[in-house]
Amino acid sequence: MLEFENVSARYGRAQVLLEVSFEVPRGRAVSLLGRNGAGKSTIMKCAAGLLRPHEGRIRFEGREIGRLAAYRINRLGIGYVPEDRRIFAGLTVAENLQVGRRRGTEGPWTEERIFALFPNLAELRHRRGGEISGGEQQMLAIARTLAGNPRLLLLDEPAEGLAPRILEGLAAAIGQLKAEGLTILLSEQNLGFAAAIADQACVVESGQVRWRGAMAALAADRELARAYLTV
Amino acid sequence: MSFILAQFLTGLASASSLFLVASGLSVIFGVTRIVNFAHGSLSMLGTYLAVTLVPLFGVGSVLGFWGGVLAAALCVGVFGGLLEVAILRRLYGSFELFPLLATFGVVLVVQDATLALWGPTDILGPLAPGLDGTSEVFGLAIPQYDLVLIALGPLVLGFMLLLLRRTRWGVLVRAATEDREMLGALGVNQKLLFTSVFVVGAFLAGLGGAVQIPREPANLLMDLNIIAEAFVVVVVGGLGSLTGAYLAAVLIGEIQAFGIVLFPEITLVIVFLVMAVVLAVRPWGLLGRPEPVADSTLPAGAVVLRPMGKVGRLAVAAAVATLAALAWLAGPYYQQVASEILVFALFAASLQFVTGVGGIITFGHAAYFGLGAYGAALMVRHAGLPMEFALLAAPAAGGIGALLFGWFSVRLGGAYLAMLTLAFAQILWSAASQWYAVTGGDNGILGVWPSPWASDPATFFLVVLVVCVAGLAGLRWTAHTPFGYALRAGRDSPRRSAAIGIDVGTRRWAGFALGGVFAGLAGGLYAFLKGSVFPGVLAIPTSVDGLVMVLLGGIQSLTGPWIGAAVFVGLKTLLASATDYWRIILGTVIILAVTGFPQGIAGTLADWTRREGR
Repeated sequence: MLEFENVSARYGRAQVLLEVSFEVPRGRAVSLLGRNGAGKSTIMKCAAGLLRPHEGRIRFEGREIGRLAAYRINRLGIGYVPEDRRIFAGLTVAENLQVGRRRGTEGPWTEERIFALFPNLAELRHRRGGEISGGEQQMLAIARTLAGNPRLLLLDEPAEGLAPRILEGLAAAIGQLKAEGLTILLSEQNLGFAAAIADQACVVESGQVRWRGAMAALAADRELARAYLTV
Repeated sequence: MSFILAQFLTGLASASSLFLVASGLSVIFGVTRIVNFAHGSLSMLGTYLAVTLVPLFGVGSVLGFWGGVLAAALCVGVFGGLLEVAILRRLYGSFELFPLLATFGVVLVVQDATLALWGPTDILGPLAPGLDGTSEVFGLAIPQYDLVLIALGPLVLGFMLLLLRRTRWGVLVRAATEDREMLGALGVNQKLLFTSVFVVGAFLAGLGGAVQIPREPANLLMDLNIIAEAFVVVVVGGLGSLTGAYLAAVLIGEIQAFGIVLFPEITLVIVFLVMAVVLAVRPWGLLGRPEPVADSTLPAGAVVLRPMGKVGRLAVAAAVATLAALAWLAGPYYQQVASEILVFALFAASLQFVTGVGGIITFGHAAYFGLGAYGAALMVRHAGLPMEFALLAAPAAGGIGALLFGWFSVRLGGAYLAMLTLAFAQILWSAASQWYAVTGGDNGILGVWPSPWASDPATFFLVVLVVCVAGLAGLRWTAHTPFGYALRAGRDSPRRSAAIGIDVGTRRWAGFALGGVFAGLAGGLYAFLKGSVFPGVLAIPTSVDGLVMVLLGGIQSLTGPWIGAAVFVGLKTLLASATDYWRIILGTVIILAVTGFPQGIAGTLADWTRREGR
């Protein structure tokens, strides 16, 4: 469904991605794993259209999207949940969801179903985004993107900075999204969290993909995990 | 009692119109982060279009009048949309000076276009049918049209608040003020949203101008008058707060309504005092929220300032020697032009020090130039002191003014700073124009001549040369002292500088004041060069001229302002003598330079700094 082919990207003069290639098959969950600064978020930004790759191709359902504006990529069916949540702090929870929803994006994720998935948010719907907790903000960020009924969900480090108890709930919610057939590309440092969600893994280091394979194989291979993932 | 009520209602009526213009400015700024200098021009266009369209729609009929007013506002809205698509769209996220200058280019173009289309004489608009009489309110005869205006302000405020709170467009606009990029990632076409915001903002400006026609004739001075007032309203109300803007508009409207009767000569000084009190208590305005501290947006690759190398010093020495030779080789006319270039070079260099080195984007540097000029002139004409003393008073006046105004402006930064500095300069300009007893008003102060020993043009030229070269050397030297390093560090990253113990606020304030000192010195020289001082030295165009010189010469080059001044003064002298429509040419050049080659300007800058280092 999503395909990176030899994608390279730079921030100014700094090379941050070098010939990255991988694939996210329809209906599956793929996790990008790697340490801080490995290039995971950059891959996500390229897929969302927030950073233009200077070489290589990014295809979504066969269509080249590497040069499209972010809003066009979103309208093709790619929903992006950024690393730092970036919810609209001055808008209420309901208004945040309203931003994510557009005419022509009607689909399974109605407001009712979103609130059923994240019951906390339903109670907070009239509170401002800046007034809710970090975990609730993370759920709001996912909910806001779901409101646009994407077919591919890009989740950039959703577990970052969340308490273990909240993580469980979050993993369950993401698991449910996957069970409903949503394709997911997840970026994560936490191997346990990623293993609970993803079927496949891509290990990223220094802007390059070092290893690709089944999530189970990575989780089982301690040497591999130690080489690329432990601090 | 009845007098108070009558003035109060007049104030409310003026406040409505002012609010309409200011609300448009606020909405546009909130989303695009652009301080639209051309907003006053949009309002002026609204007035001119209304006095033209209302007669076409039918003067006598209610439908004709209001139809004409609405059509005028709609035309301005469309024009605003075109401006956004053609010019401003290219400038989002660029160095904040660029959009300000580009929109000032639009001000110049609109001024001359209006002059060409409608002519120089004021145009009286028709009265509103059915509202041309008076109504009795508590036993007072109040113009009916004023009552309509009084209702219009809160109506538009309510409508805008509903639009922002209850519609999807409004939710998107509010989201855009927080995080534009994220909005794009959520599927919102930002370009379309920004254009629509500009259309709405321009419509409001046009409406504010159009509804004024029964009260005020259309005239060519409206643009800059209203923009200064709108800036004051937006800053006092708090950027981004429409309710704040309305409260501020009422406050300013009332001060003007009462001031004009009670203290006709110092109305604007009272406006300033009220603004000062509000900002001293609430730096972000009545209902504003603190703006986050941002790092510098100076064009990348052009930010390194190095001490001048041997070659550079030799070149400067040669240039100064060549200039000095003009005292013997050139005639009085060329000495006069060269003196003027030198004076503006010092002015531009002081502005470069404030903007380029200090990172303080001021839009009212003329205030300190003018204070210097008036300071010197008053010493000569009122105190009877000779030129030598007057030239000491000039930098003192500029410095004290900058210390005072700087205290309010510098700690705010960003758009607040740009608007506030401009408003201060405009207030001084109004005071100089109104206060006949001291400044002679529009007649200016005449007979400001140099001391007898320097009265010969060649000698005076040498005086100007010595003072200006010393001034530049002083500014350069300061930029390379620890104080200069701290200023530059504070410009590039206020937070990191604060973290290593630099008191960024105080350094910026001191840097701003120092810029005022040198601008004042340039102003003092200018007074003696011309033999007179007029309010024009304090006006907005003087401030913008300085910025254009800085931009032409290079924001990061300490030598650049000298070349910028030479090119600019030379061009302007040439253009002004060749055509009456020099503004439209200058405006177009500014717009093209800023939008067409922002990287080109920055690139040239980088070359300059590199050469300077050799």
